[in-house]
Amino acid sequence: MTTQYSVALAQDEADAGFQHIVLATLPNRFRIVSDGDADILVISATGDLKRQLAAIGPGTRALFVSAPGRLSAEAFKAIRERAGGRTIGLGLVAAFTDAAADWLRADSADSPGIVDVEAEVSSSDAGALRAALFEQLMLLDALAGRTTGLRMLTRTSGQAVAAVTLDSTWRGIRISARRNFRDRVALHTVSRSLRRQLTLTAHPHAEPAGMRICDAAGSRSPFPVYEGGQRRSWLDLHDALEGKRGFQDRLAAAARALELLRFE
Amino acid sequence: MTRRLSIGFLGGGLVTQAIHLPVLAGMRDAWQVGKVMDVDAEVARIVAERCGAAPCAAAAEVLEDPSIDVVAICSPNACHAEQAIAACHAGKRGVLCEKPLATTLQEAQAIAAAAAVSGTKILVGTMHLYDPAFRAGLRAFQATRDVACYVKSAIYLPSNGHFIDLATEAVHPSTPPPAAAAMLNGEEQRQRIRQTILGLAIHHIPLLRRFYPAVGAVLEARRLPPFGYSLLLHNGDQIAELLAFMPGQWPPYWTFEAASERHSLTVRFPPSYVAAGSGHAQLDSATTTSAFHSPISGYEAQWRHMHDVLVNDAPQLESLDAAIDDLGFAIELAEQSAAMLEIAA
Repeated sequence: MTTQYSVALAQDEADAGFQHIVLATLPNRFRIVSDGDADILVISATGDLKRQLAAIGPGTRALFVSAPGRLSAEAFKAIRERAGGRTIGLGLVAAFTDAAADWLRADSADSPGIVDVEAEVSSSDAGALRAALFEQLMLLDALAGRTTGLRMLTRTSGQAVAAVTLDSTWRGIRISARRNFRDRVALHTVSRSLRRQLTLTAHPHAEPAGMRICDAAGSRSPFPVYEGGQRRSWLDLHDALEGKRGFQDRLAAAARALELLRFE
Repeated sequence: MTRRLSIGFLGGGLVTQAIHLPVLAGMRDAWQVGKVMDVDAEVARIVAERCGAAPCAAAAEVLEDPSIDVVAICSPNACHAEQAIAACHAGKRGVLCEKPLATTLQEAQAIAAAAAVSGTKILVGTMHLYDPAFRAGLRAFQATRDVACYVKSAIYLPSNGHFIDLATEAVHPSTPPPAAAAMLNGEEQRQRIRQTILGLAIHHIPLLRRFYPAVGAVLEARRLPPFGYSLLLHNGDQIAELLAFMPGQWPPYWTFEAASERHSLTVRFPPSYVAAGSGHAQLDSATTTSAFHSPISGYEAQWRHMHDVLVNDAPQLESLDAAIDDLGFAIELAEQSAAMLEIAA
């Protein structure tokens, strides 16, 4: 029997609208409530954080941070401290099933010399590029290893490019974010024996990730999964509340990423 | 009725055998191959026999033959300028010069001076610049009046042998990729990055320059042996990335992208040597996608255009001045990249 958890959405209207759409696809697991204590409190990075954290009550079992890339490192730390021992879920564009992540990792001994990660963002607000860089760091952490360094290479009003180092065999990593008309993250790794390609769309919500592995046998793609990163993020939170997964690694990765992006 | 023109090849190597002769075989109403010159007499004889041409061992036999209308320069890079100038002095109507046009700007300017006197039409064999899909995508992007803020060239290719063997039966089999070289010192690494940019990136520098006109500053330059690189350029509000890895053991990936905040042009090209039609170009905006493709490859488009210029007096799509500016960009990029190169220990 699947446990259903109640959810209180953040006051941010745009975010609330989006979460309504996503949670409508998980009716057995989540129920949106508008009054009283909810099991899960959605924290919106763009809302009044103090007020949101003050709403955490004795009945709150978990927090879901809907756009963690828009938080400062200090704000994220404050959320973790206020959460106490409660579970914290992160709403990520680059959230996959474990099977999909394993498939994309393919050969763990592969050492690409080119790792080209880029994000396009349609939002013109000040934090959008930084949030896109955050998503890329989380993606790299999930696929390859712990981020150990970031060096901003160039910045304009509409673009940012940085070199990244990981605790892994991946080399030559460059991430970039630029403003345009769509929201998309793309990754291409190239070594002599293997190329990996990944494309993620932040909207529409259920467009499958485009994944491709290319090697001497040709190209192959997995069966498409029509599920966006936000839905997967909510499912991961449900698993965590059921004791089926932990989030500490992901939270640590997020804290590292926000710290590296501190200057932005 | 189409007027048939005659070509003399300087160099009967793999580019002539695998690219030009198969393409010209489909254009016999417009072109005939009159002579094939190669320093290797056997190559000249075999290649000439394949296309009904006369073999020869000296460039002068091509240049001084009044029946030859156009000289195709497919010789080593160091010979290009001298041969192009000689073709102008010989009064040839046209020259198709494989890239690079020359090895220095001074050489390129000497070619321009000679062509200005003789009226010879010079076309540099940058097939992607003439690719019908690229040109349609370029026109569509230009029609938006946007300025590109981001440009990327990504060239990930298996060894050329894969494709040469599908495009022809080479007189001498294509050589396997070189074994990894012994560790190079800093200056050797710098020289290699210059050579790789002038040999591989040169394919896309003319495309890049149509959206990103000046090198600006090279912020990051890495060499990926044996024929690869990762370059990051910045000029004002524009950023450009050039990425390449060759040879690899996977299917080819050869793309060019140019993006503004409102539009994104992506062109995917087939590999070299094979006549697989044009690339596939796509111009995206928030509301529309336009796609472009043609059964005509960039190689064929070059020869069709040369014929149109010489027979119908059509204006050249790309001027010699533009080709010289492309070369200048490539040389500056090579020098800045060598200076910024991350030297491998």
